[in-house]
Amino acid sequence: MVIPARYKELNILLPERLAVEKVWTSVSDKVNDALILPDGRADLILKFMLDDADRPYDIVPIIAGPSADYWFSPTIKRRGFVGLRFKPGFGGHFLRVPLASIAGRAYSGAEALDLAPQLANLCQPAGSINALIVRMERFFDDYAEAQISAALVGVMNDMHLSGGRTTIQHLADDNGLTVRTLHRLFMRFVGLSPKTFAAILRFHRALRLLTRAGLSPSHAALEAGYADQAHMTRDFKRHGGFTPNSIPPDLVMAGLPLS
Amino acid sequence: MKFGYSIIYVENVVATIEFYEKAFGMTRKFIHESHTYAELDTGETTLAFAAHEAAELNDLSISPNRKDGIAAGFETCFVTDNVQAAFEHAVENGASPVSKPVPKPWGQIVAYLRDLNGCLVEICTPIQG
Repeated sequence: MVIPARYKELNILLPERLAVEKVWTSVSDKVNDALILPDGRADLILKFMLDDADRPYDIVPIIAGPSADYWFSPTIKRRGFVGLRFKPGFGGHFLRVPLASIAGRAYSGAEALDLAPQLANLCQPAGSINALIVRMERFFDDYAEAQISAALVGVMNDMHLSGGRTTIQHLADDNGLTVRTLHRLFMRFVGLSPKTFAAILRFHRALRLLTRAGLSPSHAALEAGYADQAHMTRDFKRHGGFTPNSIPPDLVMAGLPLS
Repeated sequence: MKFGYSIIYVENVVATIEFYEKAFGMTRKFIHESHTYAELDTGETTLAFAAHEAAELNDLSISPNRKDGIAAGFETCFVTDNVQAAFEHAVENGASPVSKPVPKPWGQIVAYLRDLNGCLVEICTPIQG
């Protein structure tokens, strides 16, 4: 999940913290509705306001489940967020919530605390945004390292490498799983079906081909693995709410690295 | 325009370079400090290896090579006068045999193996002009 308006992915790479893909922050300097694109991951987010000395207060926890749908997040001036984006497959263990049960939804404040009461410890006022990030990181030191199936990690890497193009049958065969088991592993650990997850990766790659690689819509559709341009347009409307010909100019895309 | 490089995307660049040195007697030209790219010293046309992450960084979609899967539709071919010895040396050093050296009707001796990543490698004698 990416909340734009000065969105920044921090280069905090802690190999022992396998479950966290990215730590990110975002502070809004204006009132607007930020378009949030689905990335298939779960996020733990702290929403806050900044006082005159840039100290976060009114800190509210948000658990954002893995989603295939876009949504708009209203932001106001001096509103900020820090977030941990979990690697696909790992978030449920850390949040102690089955991800399939929160897919497509975001839980804020009391709702989030109902799901994960341990998050209350994160919500005291902080001296700075950095202090808040450190607090979140320390919080996760208390948790045992997540274990997920090695086969699922293999499938996930193959999915990312092919930009969601490899068929589910092929992924299952290559990783010694049946399609049924693969589906079950995805629902249990990722919270989305493998087909939906692959569609999200394909959407992100098509977006990059159009915006960064400079391909025309017809060439991008072919290279991204869509049956035709109409298929790509349908997927763009579903996952982004826009067509390939009307990509918002200020779109912010998450970096989705290999697991 | 001229043919400059063949670059194979692999899971572990350093292990692949070491494998090609051991199994096929190649020598490394350099390994980038990031360990995401390396070249063999193969003369004017370079055989290089890049990490999977590099493919992703460049927005490529690839089907990763696998030792236990079907080989992708390409091969690397090394030429030597003694195919039998090179074939045996490669197998002793971890290459998987696919087809042992056989003479072809046009006079070449040809053998096939797969490398540590499952990529096809041919070893053959030079074509007699």
